[in-house]
Amino acid sequence: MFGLSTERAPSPTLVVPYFIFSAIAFLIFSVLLLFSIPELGLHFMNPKILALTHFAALGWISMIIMGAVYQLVPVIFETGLYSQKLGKLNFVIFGLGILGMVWSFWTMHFKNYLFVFGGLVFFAFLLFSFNIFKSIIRSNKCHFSGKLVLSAILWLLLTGLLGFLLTLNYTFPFLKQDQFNVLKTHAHFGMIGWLLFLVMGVSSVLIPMFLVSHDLKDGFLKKALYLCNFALLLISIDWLAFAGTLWISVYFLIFFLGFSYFLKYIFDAYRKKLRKLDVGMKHTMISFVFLLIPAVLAGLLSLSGWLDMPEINQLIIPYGLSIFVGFFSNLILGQMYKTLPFILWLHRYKHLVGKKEIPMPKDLYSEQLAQWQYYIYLLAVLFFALGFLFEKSFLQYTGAVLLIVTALLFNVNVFIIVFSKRQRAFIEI
Amino acid sequence: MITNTHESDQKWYERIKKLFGSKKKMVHPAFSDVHGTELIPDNSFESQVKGILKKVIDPELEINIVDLGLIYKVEQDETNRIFVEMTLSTPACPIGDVIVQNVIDTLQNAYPSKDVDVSLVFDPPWHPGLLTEVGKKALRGNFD
Repeated sequence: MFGLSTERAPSPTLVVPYFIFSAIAFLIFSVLLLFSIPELGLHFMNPKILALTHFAALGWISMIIMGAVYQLVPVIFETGLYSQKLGKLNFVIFGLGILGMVWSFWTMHFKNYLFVFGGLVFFAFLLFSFNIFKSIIRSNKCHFSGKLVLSAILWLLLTGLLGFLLTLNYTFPFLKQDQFNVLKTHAHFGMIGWLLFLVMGVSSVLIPMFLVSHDLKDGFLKKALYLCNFALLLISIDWLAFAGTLWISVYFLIFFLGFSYFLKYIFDAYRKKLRKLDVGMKHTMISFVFLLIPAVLAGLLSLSGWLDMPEINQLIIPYGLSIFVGFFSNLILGQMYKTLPFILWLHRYKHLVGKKEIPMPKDLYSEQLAQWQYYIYLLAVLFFALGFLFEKSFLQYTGAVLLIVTALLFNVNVFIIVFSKRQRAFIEI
Repeated sequence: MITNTHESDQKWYERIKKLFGSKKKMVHPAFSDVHGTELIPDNSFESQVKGILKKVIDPELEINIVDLGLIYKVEQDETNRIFVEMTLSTPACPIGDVIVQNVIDTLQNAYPSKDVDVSLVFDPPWHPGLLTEVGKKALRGNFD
């Protein structure tokens, strides 16, 4: 009906498990982070850091993003999802792959099992990509936001492929390149190509929609799309084929230029907003401000070839944490409140709209808990930043404890949204 | 001059009028069309229908669709069919069909003997200028 049907939205039974897995993974990640504080000062290739990184990138961030993308296909591409069954299979395989992979890293089973779970994760990426591509083919709408999402999925496949090759290499050594360069490429394919480009594509649709901002210039998105993808391609060729040259800082500069166009688009949406920021949007908007931290660190790291300072590599862990905890977690902690309540509201109350008094999506969670979550999260980031700046582990421990509290509050709200019977009582009114 | 308006509409209209002074030309948004042209604000059928449609709320924005400026045209033909032309704040709105169905249900409840026909259009597209003052205040979380 009317070409904009909620009938196209997938069933909550497909999407909600992604959100629940992700929320629990965030809590476990926060607890593991607390017990890994001593490792944060070591080399990033140590098993616990690898386990933590993959748990955050896959279990917490990618899991919820995949669920959200399944939900958002009709919004971004104005078409239905190709297969919900495939999406459910994707969840099971991805979940098993993540748990096995993190366990293999944590317990240092690099040779025996890692490639099996790496293979499962890669297979899950293939299923996800196939499902999304098959859906998009049926759509005739693919603006720059959609193209950013498409490019993110291509980078996801490359991330998975490189990651799988790296896990195979532990058991059957065959890679001729320096493993460190392959790992760096894999990490940047994942963090920038997959996660960041996807966030750019999705948020360029959702942020103006949530802020009720109009008259935004698509040209900024176009420049961001081409410049960022071009820069990442150059960075990966440089690392994989030339083992890292001095040109890398130039490529990062091109990337920053492209990304600044995207930030300009988001800033415009913020400037033209007609709506007051709620807690979800506060998290979202501040996450873009926090991006300054990894941007500065990435700039410094890309200069490592020019500066003869081996200690600069100590910035790699703060760099990773600032991206995963400072940006992606921040964004997701906010966007959950804009998506999950709406998904379940639609499912529970759509047929009652206009017939009975029903709650609004915002009534499905505790606003007060969400506010606490926001401020405690900001404190957690502050303590982590001060801990790294002054090299004081007690500040990092405080940050980790605050992050656990954040994760607990987030989980309570996720479970209230999904399972609370209080809201269902509205149906009986 | 505005007569026979809905009581609450009249209240805020008076408030705005007082705020800006009587010299400023004020067109009550419920009595102007999509192009801002002043309509004859009386107890017309269009005003009645718009009053009824204030029950239809956008669940994300939590504002009624009339104050959002989504209703472009309300007509009634000789066969007693109600025709509503409306838009959405964005073509990508994920609950477009729920809002449209709510418009149909609400009008059919109010006018059981009439048929209701809703047409969804995106030309002209919705723009912030279509928001009423009440809508603008509600979006900013300021209801005073």
